[in-house]
Amino acid sequence: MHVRKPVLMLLVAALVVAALIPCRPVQAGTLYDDLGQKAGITKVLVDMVGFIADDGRINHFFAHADIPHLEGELVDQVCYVSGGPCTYTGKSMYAAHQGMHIKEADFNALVEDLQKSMYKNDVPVPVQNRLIAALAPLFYPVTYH
Amino acid sequence: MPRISKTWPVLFGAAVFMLICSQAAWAGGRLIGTGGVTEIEGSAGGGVVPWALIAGTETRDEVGGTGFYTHFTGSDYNIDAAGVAIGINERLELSYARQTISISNAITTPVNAALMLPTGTLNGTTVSQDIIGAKIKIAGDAVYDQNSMMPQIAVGVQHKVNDDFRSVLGITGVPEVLGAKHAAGTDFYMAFTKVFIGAAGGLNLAVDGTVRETNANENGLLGFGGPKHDGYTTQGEGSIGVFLNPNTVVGAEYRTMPNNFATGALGTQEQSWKDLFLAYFPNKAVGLTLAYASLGAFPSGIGTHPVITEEQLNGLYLSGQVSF
Repeated sequence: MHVRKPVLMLLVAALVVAALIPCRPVQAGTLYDDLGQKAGITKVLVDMVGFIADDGRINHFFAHADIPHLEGELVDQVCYVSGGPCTYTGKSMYAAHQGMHIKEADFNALVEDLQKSMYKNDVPVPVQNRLIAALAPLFYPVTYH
Repeated sequence: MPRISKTWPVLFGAAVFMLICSQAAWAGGRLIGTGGVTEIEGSAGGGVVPWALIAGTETRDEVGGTGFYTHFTGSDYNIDAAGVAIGINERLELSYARQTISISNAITTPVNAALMLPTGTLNGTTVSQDIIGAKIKIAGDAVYDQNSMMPQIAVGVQHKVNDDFRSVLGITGVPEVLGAKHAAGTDFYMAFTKVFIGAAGGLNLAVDGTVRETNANENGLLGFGGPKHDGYTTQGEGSIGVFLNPNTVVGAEYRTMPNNFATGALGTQEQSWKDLFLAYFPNKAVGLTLAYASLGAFPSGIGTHPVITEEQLNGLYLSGQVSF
């Protein structure tokens, strides 16, 4: 009686996990397409910059930034990392953040502002996650230098 | 030995309620949900498995911490656990927890009779233990290393002291009656935890595997070592969870047990712990966990308890955590 128990529990667990994985084919489009291409990406990033401007945790980093230029570079970069037809011509991520001493909490604050913006623009959670996964490794070149 | 006071859950519930209604502005800089919840031994983890995550909402520049209260309701026994942890620079975790198992009179009455004690002597039997834990992150980052398979790795220790190994009267020391050899023991573990962002059909997948060296019976509530085996054995533990959104995780856990006791009338066969859980983080400061758990029949080996049904092994696990 007790021998069957773990097997049954594991089966139930596997079924629960399987049921939670959305049953649809592998994404047909690239992340770029799923974000709504350049127009969708632009809306998300312009709104994100708006949220950052109101975010007392990190807005001081952008106090002297050229906002239209920054927005253009962000759009190019997200377009590029999401597989879109753009080239990012700005400085390397490391060079662009040199001397800013950005900490982990600052990086995460920006991620939260990006999430807020994606929710505002009705970006589905799976698409949000794929963009965050693509941007997460930037933690290392952006922070602590 | 004092049991966890009945006022504890009430106070804890009130604190959680107030925190849910606040914005918890003092929470640290970590992303929501990435500190996990508190497992039943007081370490940051899942429900019954310690993970490589460090307790609290702090980043590497901050200090954080957690407080938790957990209640498991089985048909033959209840377990209450409460504790606190501090996370230093998302590197070192120090924790304290106290667990109490309350054994139902249905279990103790036949033992009471077999030992020819006055009726009701063993009613309300409880066993408590204190657990002091330390964990240190040694490599990797569970969240940021999305371009590699590298998990976050931590090593930890849990020192446990069973307060009811033997009683003053020599009659209600449940662990010793069952054949446990020691009142205290120390577990060593290594945990590997990774969040695969967007991996499960676009949803975030949290995976943990933990290897533990232990001689604890039922995590120490029934003492340490036994007639069948007294030394350390290696046990495997694992958790898997899917973030339905940044605030909600559903998943399952599995944890093996050493099974140090002999079979027979006074033996108790340990069964692996398993659970299916739903964890909800209304904000960074609060984590609530509801689980359907099977922790085995551990006090039921005492005396001549009737055959245990599958249902009797299972129960509801409720846990609340506050974090800063």
